[in-house]
Amino acid sequence: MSTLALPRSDDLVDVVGQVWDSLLGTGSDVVPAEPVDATARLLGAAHFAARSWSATVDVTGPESRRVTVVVDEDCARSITRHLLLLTRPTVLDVLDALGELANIIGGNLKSLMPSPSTLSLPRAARGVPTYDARLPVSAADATWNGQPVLVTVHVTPPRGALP
Amino acid sequence: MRALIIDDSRVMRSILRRVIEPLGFETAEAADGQDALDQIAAGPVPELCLVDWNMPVMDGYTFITRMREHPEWRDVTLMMVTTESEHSQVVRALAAGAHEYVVKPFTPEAIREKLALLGLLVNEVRA
Repeated sequence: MSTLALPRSDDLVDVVGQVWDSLLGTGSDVVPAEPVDATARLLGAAHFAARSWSATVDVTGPESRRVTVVVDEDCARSITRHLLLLTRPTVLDVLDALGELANIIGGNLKSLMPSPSTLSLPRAARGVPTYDARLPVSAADATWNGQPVLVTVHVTPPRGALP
Repeated sequence: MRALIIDDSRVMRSILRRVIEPLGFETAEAADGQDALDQIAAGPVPELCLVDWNMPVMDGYTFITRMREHPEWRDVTLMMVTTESEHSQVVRALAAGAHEYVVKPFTPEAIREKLALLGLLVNEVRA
């Protein structure tokens, strides 16, 4: 598959930066992440705490993409506390907060992708998803209060082929 | 004035509530379009609905088309607040009956400006 069909790193960084600035305020920093490094991090979760959270949305169209947001436990709860103004967010709160982040990032990237396309509802869960390392990917590194957040966009194979 | 915030995300409903309550709105929330229709039918009818597009059960576009099938609700202002940013989607929503359109992520000022344009601001933001 052509990597030219992926959002450019600059575009991904711009989108994530806008979302960070709007929802999370100051203290954010977003830079491109090397695809090889991002893939390794997804596969091994080497840079994240053992307890991780992730949220995904699918953009389905002439070519399909999966947007994934990955954070560790502390970051997940910190972001959720900030967004919901809660001191003790529940698991459902965290799932909702991360899902909405993925939803907004995915929705904005959708406009940069081949059309017509549709955006799925977000899915969030504990753990880090695994992808075939051969899938083309673009990625961005963001931080929230010094904690790492990884945002990836994978070109996805035809329906049913992903785990 | 009453506003119904329609979004499947509790986070987004919370954010929108924090934006529009200081502007003088009394808020209620719905998690999808069907929930919103049920609340409106039960009353009281809000003056404003902030509507997400992608929701389970009933999406925002379908909600707007259903609202426009009811003449008794024609005075309800419908503002889409959504990640759908493509021009074709904006046109589609406005043609279906939405009055305004805001793309996520948004700033509080963007919401306020849209509400001012619609003539819905009755209170300024408290200091």
